[in-house]
Order: sequence, then C-alpha cells, then structure tokens
Amino acid sequence: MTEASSPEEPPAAPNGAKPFLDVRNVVKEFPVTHGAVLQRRVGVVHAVSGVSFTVKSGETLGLVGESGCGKTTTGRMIVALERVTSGSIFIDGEDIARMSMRRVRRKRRDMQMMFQDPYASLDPRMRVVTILREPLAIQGIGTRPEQEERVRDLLNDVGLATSSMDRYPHEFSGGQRQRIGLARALALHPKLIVADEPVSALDVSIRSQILNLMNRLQTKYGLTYVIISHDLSVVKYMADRIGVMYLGKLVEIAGGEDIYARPAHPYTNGLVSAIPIPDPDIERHKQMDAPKGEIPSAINPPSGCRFRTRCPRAQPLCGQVEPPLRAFGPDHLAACHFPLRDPVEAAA
Amino acid sequence: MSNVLEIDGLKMHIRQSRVTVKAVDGVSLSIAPGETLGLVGESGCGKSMTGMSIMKLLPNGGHIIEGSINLNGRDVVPLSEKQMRRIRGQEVAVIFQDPMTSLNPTMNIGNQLGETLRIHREASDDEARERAVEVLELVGMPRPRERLHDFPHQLSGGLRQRVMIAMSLVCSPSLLIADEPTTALDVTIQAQILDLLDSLRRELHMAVLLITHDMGVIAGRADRVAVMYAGKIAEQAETSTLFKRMRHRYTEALVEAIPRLDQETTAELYSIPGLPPDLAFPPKACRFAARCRFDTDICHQVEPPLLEHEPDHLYACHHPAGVGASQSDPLVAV
Ligand SMILES: Nc1ncnc2c1ncn2[C@@H]1O[C@H](COP(=O)(O)OP(=O)(O)O)[C@@H](O)[C@H]1O
Ligand code: SF4
Ligand code: SF4
Ligand SMILES: [Mg+2]
Repeated sequence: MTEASSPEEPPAAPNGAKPFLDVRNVVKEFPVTHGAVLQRRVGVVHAVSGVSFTVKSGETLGLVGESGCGKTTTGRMIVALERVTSGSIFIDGEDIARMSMRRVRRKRRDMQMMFQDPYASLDPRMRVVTILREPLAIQGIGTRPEQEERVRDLLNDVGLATSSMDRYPHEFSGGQRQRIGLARALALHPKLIVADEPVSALDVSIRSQILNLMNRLQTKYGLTYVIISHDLSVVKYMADRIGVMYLGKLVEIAGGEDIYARPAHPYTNGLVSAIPIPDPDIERHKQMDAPKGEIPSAINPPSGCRFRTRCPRAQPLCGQVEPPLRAFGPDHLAACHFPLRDPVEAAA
Repeated sequence: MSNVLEIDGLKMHIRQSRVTVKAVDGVSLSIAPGETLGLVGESGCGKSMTGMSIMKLLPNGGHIIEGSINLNGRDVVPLSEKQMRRIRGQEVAVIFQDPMTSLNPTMNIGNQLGETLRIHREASDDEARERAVEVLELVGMPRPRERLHDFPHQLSGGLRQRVMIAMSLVCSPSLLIADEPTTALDVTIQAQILDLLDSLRRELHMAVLLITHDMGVIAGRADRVAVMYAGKIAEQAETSTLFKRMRHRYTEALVEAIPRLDQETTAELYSIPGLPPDLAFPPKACRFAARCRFDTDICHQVEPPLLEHEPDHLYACHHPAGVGASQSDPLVAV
C-alpha cells in the first residue's frame, strides 16, 4: 500500500504521526574525473547508496561511522547543500529532492547546518553582528534595527555577551566560536539542525558546555536534530536513536542503549568495542572486537554486504546477496545475514 | 632497573615580543624501561612542550630555564644541537598526531626509511631496503615490499601513522614520545595503532610517553598517569589508583565532563566553566582555582604543593576528593 502510493506523498509512520524528516532510499554519487583540461569520467564514488530513515519532530537522531562512510554527505543532502542523485528527502511533508533551487533556497530557513570547525565556517573579516545578521539580510527579514535586535537575542540564547557583536571571530575561543556557529544556525528559526561533528574540535572540558547548550535550545525551540559524529559516546548522550553507517549504507539503527548494549550488526559491535572507556577495570577487561584493516574504497565497494572484507562472521552468502534491513525489536533495524542476535519474527 | 627518562623540575618558557609564556613550569616525571606513562590534560596545558623539551626541539623563543632531563642517565639540557642530533632517533623518537608534518611528501616510503637509517648507521642501499621492509613488517604494514614505492599522500591516515612509527623505530630508541598519535584517526584505527604501540613497547622494551587528551585511552594503555594543568603536574599515580581514588579536583572534573558510552546519562553533563589560564599570566596560587567547584580562600592565596600524600600517589590540591569529608569537601564542611 505505502509502496504503491505516489512518491511525492510521504507514508504515515506506524503510529500514524508523520515524521518530520523522512529520508527515503537516498543515493549520492560523485563522478571521479581524470585529467586537468579534458576531464574524463573514470568512475564514480558511491558516497551514499540507498539510505532511509525517519526522524520525528523534536527528536535527535545521531549518525555514526568511520570517516568516509557517508555521514557528512547524508547531512549535507538533508540541508540541501548537496542535491541527491536519486531518492527523496521529505522535510515536514515536502520533498526537497524534487524542488527547484529557488524553492529550496526558501525552504532552507527550516533546516540549518552547524559545522565542525566554526573557525573555517565564519568569515574572519566580518564582525559577529554581520555574521549573524547575514542570514536575515539574505532572506530579507526585518529592518536593520530589527535584525540587530534579533542578533542580541541570539547571542543571549547561546550565552554570549551582547558586547560580542562588535568583535571578530579570532577574538573568541573555540567553544565561543561554536556558540557563534550555533547562533547563526538558529537565526532563521529553523525546525531542523544538522550538526556535523559539533564538538570534535573542542577540548573535553568545553564539549559538555556546548552539548548542554544544544539540549537546552532543543527544548526551548522544539528543534529536531541530526547529530553527526565519529564519537559514539557524544552521540549516545545526545541522541534518542542512532544510525550506524558503513561505506554508504545504513547498517543498523536503534535507540542508544540497544546500539551500545544489544547491537545486532557485527560492525556496530566492533565500533562500540573500539571506544575507550575511562575506567581501567572495564577498559582492560572488555572484549575487543574492533574491525581489522581499513574501510575499502567507495569507488569499488565490495559486492553483497559491504562490510564483508572486515567482518569476522562473513560467509559466502555475504558476498553474493546484500543483506536487507530486518527488525530486531521495536525501533531496531539491522542489515546482516548472520547477526549477533535473532531478528524478531515478521508480524503474521 | 634505572629509569630511561628522569625529568626534574623542568621549566621551559617561551619568550615572545611582549610576554613570556610559561609553557612548562616545574615538571618532574620518570619512565622505566617497558613502561607507558600517560600525560593527559586539556590542549595548551603544556603536554606537547614537555615532550618537545625532551627532544630539545623548542619553538622560537623557547628556553629551558631550569631543571634537568636525564635520558639513559645523561642530562641532555646542556648538550649542543650537534650532540642532540645523534640522540634524536637513536635514544628518543617522537610521533605526532599528523604524520604528514614529519613525512617528506616528495620522497617515497622506502627512501625515507632508508635515509633515516643511513643518517644514524652505516648501511648499504640493499641493507637499508631490507631493514625498511623489516620495520614496515614490524608495524603491521600490509604488503610492505610494494609500499616502498608509495608516497605518503597515497596512504590512509592509519597507514601513514604506521610509516611514522616505522621511521621512529628504525634505530630502536629507548624512549618513544607519542604525542596524540591517534587523535586524528577513527576509533577502529586508533585501537589498531594503540595495540601496535603496546606490542612494540613490550617486544622492544621501550619506554613510552603517551600524550593524549583522552581519559579513555589513558585508562586502557597507560601504566602510570600524570595529569597536567596550566604547565604543572596536578596529580600523578599508577593508572588504576588514579581512577579509583582521584584526588585532585581538576582530574575529577575532567573525568566527570566526559559523556560515557557505558552509562545512561539523562542528567546534564557536568561542564568545567571558563577556560584554562593564559600561561603568560598564570594564577599565583592554585592554577585551577578560577574554575574549581571546591575552591576556598586558601586556593587563591597559597599554591598547593605537589606531594606524595599517599604511597606513589602525588597531588597538589588543598581540598582533595575523598580524603575525609570534613577537610576534603568544603561544600559539606560549611
Ligand atoms: N610554537 C609555539 N610558539 C609559542 N607558544 C607556543 C608554541 N607552541 C605552544 N605554545 C604555547 O605553549 C603552551 C603549552 O602548549 P602545548 O605544549 O602545545 O600544550 P598541549 O600539548 O598540552 O596542548 C600554550 O600556552 C601554547 O599556546
Ligand atoms: S552480512 Fe555477512 S559480512 Fe555482512 S555483517 Fe553480516 S555476517 Fe558480516
Ligand atoms: S587547590 Fe582548591 S581550587 Fe585548586 S583544585 Fe584543589 S580545591 Fe580546587
Ligand atoms: Mg598538544
């Protein structure tokens, strides 16, 4: 029934509520070219290869995986900084993958991106007031005094003094710059924020300040978050559910406790076991199942299950048939032929 | 057995046009053969500058103004640059977070390894190549012979770090300084590289100074830990002691601020307010006092000395955690 419905129409979630963000079978391929002048197309990078998930309004989804697994590309497609090769991305019921660039630009108010390195994403020659006014000016919102009033509110929201307005990015510490980055993301009252490694560049003592701030603002404004990070501990603290990606595929998605304590996919299990726990009694006695070797090239991904070249459980079938996502509990999906736990029986 | 490294009262200050940055301000450490000492703290607290002082690779304006650095029983502080050049590589080697900063981008792996070898030892081309293959094998490089012709940019971050480790091992140093060796890597590759460092340390009986900001890495890999804050050692102990009985309020705060994978965290994370002090103007008494939850007047007036309050456990705090509620916990005491 849902399969047959028009692709423009997002399906209703099982509980009847429409998800705020509905990513459906999204594919992104980047051409690989050779030669400086006459660029020949010599192949294609399969950055994201058919990823689907939903996020409810006000919910936080975390995306984790090794570098090169496609998490940043997925995030960039959600905020339309990157157009999809195929598939749909419904935001609040509208498919941004099928929108004209002009409509996308208007829609972009609703979804904003927060970057890892706030320094690289803030123009060093602009004062903070200009940086924060810019999105309002581009969208033609308010008079100049109104815009400056909004900047003051934003600074207040992210815990920076109003006197910061006249200063330049280099005059701030890393944590303060990330606060400016967050203020800029909030300027247009977005509904969804995609945060790509929001605290990875920060010191551990500063990280929790930013994470707590993000949580407070989520409650205050009813924000929906997609938080991308290679740090599963950060993601587990922030997210309601976590998606694990490997080489362009979503291999498992579940609540944080399930991902940590009851993973079904061997890759999730390996990733979890590789994360150092700050307790020598646990850290020295835990079973280490960290995957051996390195992530293969996304130009020629392995056939069947893409994880099979590093998987301790791989069988011949894994090279022949791509494992589909199966249910391992309520809100828990994983794609593996020989999972660590039994899938739940499909409902009769 | 005597220690490979013994640092005593080291002060390394960096003179800049207007100010002097007291990057290392009275640090004492020692490492035995085959031992890993973890040096942990926030960025800018002087961890790297401590490591570079041992190598005597100081930034512009940097001077060792006090203290001694005994390496295999000899103080390197008075040695000339020429003498240091022999010691680097032979007795002490360093690997960094970003191997690209120390690898030559225009030279293939085989030649770089061979060159390092020839600088330190007489070796023919053939011998150098064979030794290069040998060390690449030792660091777990897949198909080492084929890699000799690769350039650094053709390798992944993890493989580059393996090459860097191979280069540092060419002359079997007795001390390896690993400065955030895995910070830029994925956790999966981090685990592999840390395993490698562990097994090399055991096989070669090397002393390792493991510099990191990650308390999880410390918990799993260090035999002993020194926690550094604002140019000084705040606390030092055997690893399990440090985690079981952390005393210094900075150590405690640092660990409390990390979200833990193995814990269900619903409450707000503790966050340390403010920033570490500017090392050009370090606070006169306790350097952590401005950010500490437990500070009292004495913390702002008298510098707490770093003392061995308990066997093999040093800390510098007026109100240490867990040492009798009345003295340790001023919030409870009032
Ligand atoms: N090349 C340099 N020139 C001047 N100051 C430096 C240089 N490198 C580091 N510093 C200063 O020395 C202090 C200690 O830095 P560092 O040893 O790099 O700390 P860590 O390794 O703990 O992050 C800091 O105040 C830092 O700004
Ligand atoms: S499908 Fe096969 S190769 Fe893939 S994760 Fe499962 S067991 Fe491993
Ligand atoms: S000496 Fe005082 S201010 Fe410093 S860490 Fe201890 S309790 Fe905190
Ligand atoms: Mg450093």
